[in-house]
Amino acid sequence: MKKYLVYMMCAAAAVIGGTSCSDFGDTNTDPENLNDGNIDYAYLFTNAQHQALGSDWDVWRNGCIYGTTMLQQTSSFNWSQGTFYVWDGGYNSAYWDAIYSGDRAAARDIALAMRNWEGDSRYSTDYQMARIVKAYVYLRLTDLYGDIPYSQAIQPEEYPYPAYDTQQSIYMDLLKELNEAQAALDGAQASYIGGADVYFNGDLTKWRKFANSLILRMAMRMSKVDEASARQWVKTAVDNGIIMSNEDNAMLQHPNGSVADDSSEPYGKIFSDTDAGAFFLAEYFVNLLKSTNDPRLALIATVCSTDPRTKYSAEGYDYGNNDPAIQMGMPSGYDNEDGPFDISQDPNYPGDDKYRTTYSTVNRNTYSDPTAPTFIVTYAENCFLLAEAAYRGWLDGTSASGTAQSYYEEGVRAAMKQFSQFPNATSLYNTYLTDAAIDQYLAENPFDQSRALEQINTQYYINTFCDAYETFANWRRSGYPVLTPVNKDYPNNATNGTIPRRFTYPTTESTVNTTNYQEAVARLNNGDSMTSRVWWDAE
Amino acid sequence: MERGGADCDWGTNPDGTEMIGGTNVYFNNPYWLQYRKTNETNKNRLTGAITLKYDIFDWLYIQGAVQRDGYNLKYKEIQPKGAAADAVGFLTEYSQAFSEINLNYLIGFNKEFGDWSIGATLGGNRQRTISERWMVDGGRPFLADGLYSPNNLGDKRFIKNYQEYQVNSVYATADFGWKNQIFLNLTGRNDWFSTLNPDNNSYFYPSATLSWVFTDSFRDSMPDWFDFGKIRGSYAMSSNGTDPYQNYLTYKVRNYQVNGQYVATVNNSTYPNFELKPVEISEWEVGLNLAFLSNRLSFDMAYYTKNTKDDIAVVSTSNTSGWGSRIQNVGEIQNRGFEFMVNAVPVHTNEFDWNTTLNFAINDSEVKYLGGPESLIMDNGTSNVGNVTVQNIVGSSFGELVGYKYKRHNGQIVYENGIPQREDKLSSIGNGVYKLTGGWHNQFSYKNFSLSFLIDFKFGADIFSGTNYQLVSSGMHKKTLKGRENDPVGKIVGEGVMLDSSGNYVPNTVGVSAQEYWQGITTSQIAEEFIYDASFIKLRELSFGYNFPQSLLNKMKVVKGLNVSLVARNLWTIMKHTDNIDPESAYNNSNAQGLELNGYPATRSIGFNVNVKF
Repeated sequence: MKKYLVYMMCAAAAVIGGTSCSDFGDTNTDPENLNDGNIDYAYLFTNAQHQALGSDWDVWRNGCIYGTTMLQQTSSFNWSQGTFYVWDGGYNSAYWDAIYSGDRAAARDIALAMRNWEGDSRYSTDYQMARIVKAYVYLRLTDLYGDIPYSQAIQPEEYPYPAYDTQQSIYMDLLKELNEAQAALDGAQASYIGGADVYFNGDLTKWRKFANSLILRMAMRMSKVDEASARQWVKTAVDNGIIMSNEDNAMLQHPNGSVADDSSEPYGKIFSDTDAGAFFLAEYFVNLLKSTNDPRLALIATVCSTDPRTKYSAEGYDYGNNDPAIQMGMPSGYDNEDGPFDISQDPNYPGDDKYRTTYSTVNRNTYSDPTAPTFIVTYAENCFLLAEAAYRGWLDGTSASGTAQSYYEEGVRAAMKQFSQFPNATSLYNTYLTDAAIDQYLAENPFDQSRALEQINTQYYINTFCDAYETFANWRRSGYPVLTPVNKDYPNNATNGTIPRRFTYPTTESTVNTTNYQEAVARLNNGDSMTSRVWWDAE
Repeated sequence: MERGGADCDWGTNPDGTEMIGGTNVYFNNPYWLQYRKTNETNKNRLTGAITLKYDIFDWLYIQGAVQRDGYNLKYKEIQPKGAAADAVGFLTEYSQAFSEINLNYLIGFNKEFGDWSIGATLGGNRQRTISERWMVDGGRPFLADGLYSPNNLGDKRFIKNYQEYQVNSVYATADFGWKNQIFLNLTGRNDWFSTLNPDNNSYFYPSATLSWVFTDSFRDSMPDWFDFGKIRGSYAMSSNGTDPYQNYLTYKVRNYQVNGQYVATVNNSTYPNFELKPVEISEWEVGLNLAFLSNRLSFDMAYYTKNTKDDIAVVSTSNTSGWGSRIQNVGEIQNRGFEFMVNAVPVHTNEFDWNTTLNFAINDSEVKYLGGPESLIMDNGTSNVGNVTVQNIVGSSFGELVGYKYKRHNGQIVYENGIPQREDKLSSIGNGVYKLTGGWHNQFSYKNFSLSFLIDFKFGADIFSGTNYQLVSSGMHKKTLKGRENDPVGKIVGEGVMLDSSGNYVPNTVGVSAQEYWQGITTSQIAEEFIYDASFIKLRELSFGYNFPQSLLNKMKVVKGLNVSLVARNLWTIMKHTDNIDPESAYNNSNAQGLELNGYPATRSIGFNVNVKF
C-alpha cells in the first residue's frame, strides 16, 4: 500500500510540475483598463485635438509667464521670467514636456491613432484629418524651439533617443503633409468618427480650409528666409481655398468648461482662476488700443473694483468694469520688491494698496473666461497674411484678387466681428462692436501704404492675443509691432536685455539624449539659449 | 486658545481661509493646515499558514501547505477647502485589498547510510498575488462645507486598480553529509513568471554549497580553545520576474469632456516591453565561521562575487519618443564584497557581562555592459534642481552621480568677468552608493539591568545636496554672506584664473557681488559645488532596561517575564561631512541613490518599552 502511495506522489509531482506551469492564460492582462484590443482610437484623436492647443501647464509657463508678458500684452510683478527675461528651464520646456509624453501628449496620441488607422479603409478620411492635426502640433513645437525630433519621434522601440530634424526639413515635410492631406479630403468618404472630431464635426470642407490656412501661415513664416518657397506655397494655399469667414474659423469650444480640470479654455483658466490677479494688461498694449480708439478695448480689458485675485471658482468673483475710459495698462519691466526695479519709480503708479483695482486686467467676459473658445486659425489672421502677401506682390497669378488695403480692412472687420463668438460677451459686443463703430475705427485709422507692414502685423498682434505662440512667431518674423525691450541689468537676465527669440530645450534632453541634443545645439547661433534664432527667424 | 487644538484660529483669515505670508500660495501656513490637511492610513493584516505533514515511512515524508498573507489598507488624504493652494479642496481616498497565497507541496527523504547522511526533497509552489484597489483619486471640489466624504465631491474621479501575477515553481534539493563534518547541498529550481513574455518566461537555476566543519574532522589535534570552525563555498543562481502588465499598452479615459466628447490617453508612463525575459543572477561565495574559548570569541566572514545579467530595469528615454522611460532587460552588473562579523564577550562574571559585536560589509560594483549604450539614467534618478542624474556607466560603479563641474585650467577654476565657468560637458561627480557599512553593538548587563548602545557607520558614498544648492541660490546659506553690501570689501574675487586680452591664463582679479557670484554658479548648474562626502558615524541607539527578577514574578502566576526599557534612537551624529543636511537624507529608496532635496530632518526619538511574557 505504501509503495503505491509513493508512486502516486511521484506521479503527482510530475503532473503538477510538468503541465500548465508556463501557461498563465490572461493573468497578465489588466482587466480594469483599455488596451489595444478594445480601445476606440477616436478617443485619442479627440485628446490630441484638444491638447494640441495646450493646457494650463504650458499656457501658464510658455504662454503667460513668458509669452504674453515678454511680448508686452500682459505685465506682472510675480514673474521675473517674462518681465526681465530670466531663464527658467522648466518654464521654457513646458510645451515640449507636455506634448511629447504624459497625459497631455498630443504628439504621441495622434501618432498612435494614425498608426492604428493606417490601412483601415473605414478610417481613411479620419487618417487624413489626423495628418493635419499632427502637422499643427509639430508646427507649434518647431516654431517655439527650432530643430526638434520629428521623423524619429514617437517610435520608442526603434528610436528611444531620437535625432533632431532641422526646422527647414520639418517645414518642408509639414507643407507636403498638409497639402497631400487636404487634397485627399477632396471628395473623400464621410468621416467615420463623427462627433469625436471636436474641431469641425466631420465637415471636410472646413478641414481643407483649415489645412490650407496652415499652409498660408507657414508660407508667410518663411518670408525672411526662403522667399521663393514662401511665394509658391502662398499660391498653393490660396488657390486651394482658405478660411474666409468667421463661420469657418478653426476653433475649439469649451461649453461647461471647468477650472477643476482640462475642460476649460487654458488662458481663461489661468487668468481667471489658477493665477487670478497675477497678470494685468501691459501699458504698451492698452495704450496701443487707446491711442487708436480701438472699440475692442472694452472686450479685451477690464478693471476690477474688488481684489482681482478672487478666483473664478470662489465667491465674489469680480467681472470687472469694461468702460474703455477707465482702462489703464501696467508698465512692463518693474517688480514690487522695494529694490532698484520697484514700480514706485513710475510716476503713474497708483500705490501698493490701489494698483490691483486701478490697472486693467484681462477681460473676464472674453479672454479670461474658462468657457471661451480657443481660436486656432481665424479669418482675420488669413486676411492679414493675404494683405501682407498682396503688399509684397505675391498674390499675382493666384485666385486671390484683393489688394493690401482691401484685405487689411476685411481683416479688421473680421477681427472685430470675431468677438461675437465669445459666449459671454454678447451684450458687450452689441454695445461696442457695432458696424458703425468698426467703420469709424477704419476711418480714423486708415490703411497707409507706407506703413503697411507695421499696420498689418500690429493688427495680427492684437487678433492673436491669447494665442501667444502665434503672436510670438509672427512678431519674430515680421518685426512688428516694434517693442522696446526692458533692458535693466536685472540679475540673471539671460538675454542681455533683449526680448527672447525662442525657448530652450528641456534640460533632461542634455543628459538623456546627449549626442543628438549636442548635435542640434551646435546648429544654433548662440547655443541652447533664449537668444538663438530659429531657421525662419533670419536676422 | 491653545495652539494645539483643532479649533485654533492661528493662521486663519477672517473668512476662515488659510493666511499666507506673501504671494506664493505654496508657502503653506502650518498652523492653518494642522488638523485640516490630513493623511490617515489604517492597515489590517492577517498572515497564516496551514501545513500538513505525513510520514509515509520514517525516512520519507510528504507535506502540503497553504500560506496566506493579506491586508486591507485604507487611506484618506484631505486637502481642505479654503487652503491657499488648491482652494476648492480635494479628496484622495482608497481601500486596497492585497493577498498573496502560496500553495505548495514537498516530498522529503532522509536516510543515513553509515558515515553518510543523505536528504532529498522534491516540491512545487504556486504563488498568486492579487492587489485590488477602489479609489477616489483627487476628487474635487467639496460642495458643502465641513464634510470630507466622496459623497460631497463635485467630480468624484473614481478609479479601480487591479494587479495580479502568478509564479509557478518546481524545485528539488539533495543534501549529502559525511560524518557530520563535510556537507554538500545541491538545489535546482525552475520558475515560470506570468509577468514575462509567454515564449520566454521560464528560468532554471541551480545552486551548490560545500561546507566543512574542520574542527570536527581534526577534533583530537585541535586545541581546546578552538571550539568551532567551518569553511564553506557556494555557487547559486537566482532570478525574478517583474511587476504585472509591463508588456503592453493600456489606455485611460479622462474624467472630463471636451465639447461634449470623451477623451482617452495612454496609461503607461513607462513604455512597455513585450520581450521581457527573466533576470539571470549568479553568485559565488566563500565563507568562514570560527568560534573560540567556549564561544567567548567568534568570527563570521564571507567573500562573494555576484553577477546580474539582463536585469529588468526602468531606463530613462527621451520624452520625445512618447514616453519618458521604458522597461527592458539591461546589461550586466557585477558586485563583489566582503562581509565580516566578530562577536566577543570580553567580561563574563556572575553578575556582570559585556558582549560586543562589530560587523562591517564592503561592497564594490561594476557595470560591465548595458546592452549597447555607454550609460543609462536610472529610474527616478534625475534631481529636480542642478541637473544631476544617477546613471549606470559602463566601466564605473553602479549609481554614478553625473553633473557639471567647474571649468579648470591646470586644476585652477576658470573665471570670466568674475563668475566661475563650468565645463561644457557633463561628467561623473561622485557615486551615490556606500562602499563600507557596518555597526558596533555593545551590551552591558549587571544583575537585572542592561545597557546597550549601537554605533552605525557608512563610508564611501557621495550626496548631491539640492537643499544647499537652493539655499545658496537664494542667498540663505552661511557661505554666501561674504561679499555683500555690508562687507567692507563688498565683493568676492574668486580664487582661480581668467583669460587676459591676449588669451593667456592669469590670476583672476575681477570682483563681483555675492549674488552674482553664487547665482552665477547655480544658474550654470555647477553641481560639483554641492557634492558632499556622505560618510557618517552615528550613535544609532541607546537603551537601558530592567528585567524583573523571577523571584518577584513567581508571586504573580500569570506573568512569566517582564522587561521594561528606555530606548533612544538617532541620538547623536558623531561624524558627518555635510552641512545643513543629514547625510542619510537622500530622497530615493529606489536604486538611484545620492540625491537630496528639501527633506525633513531625521527625528530623534526616545521611547519606553514594556515586554510582557504570559
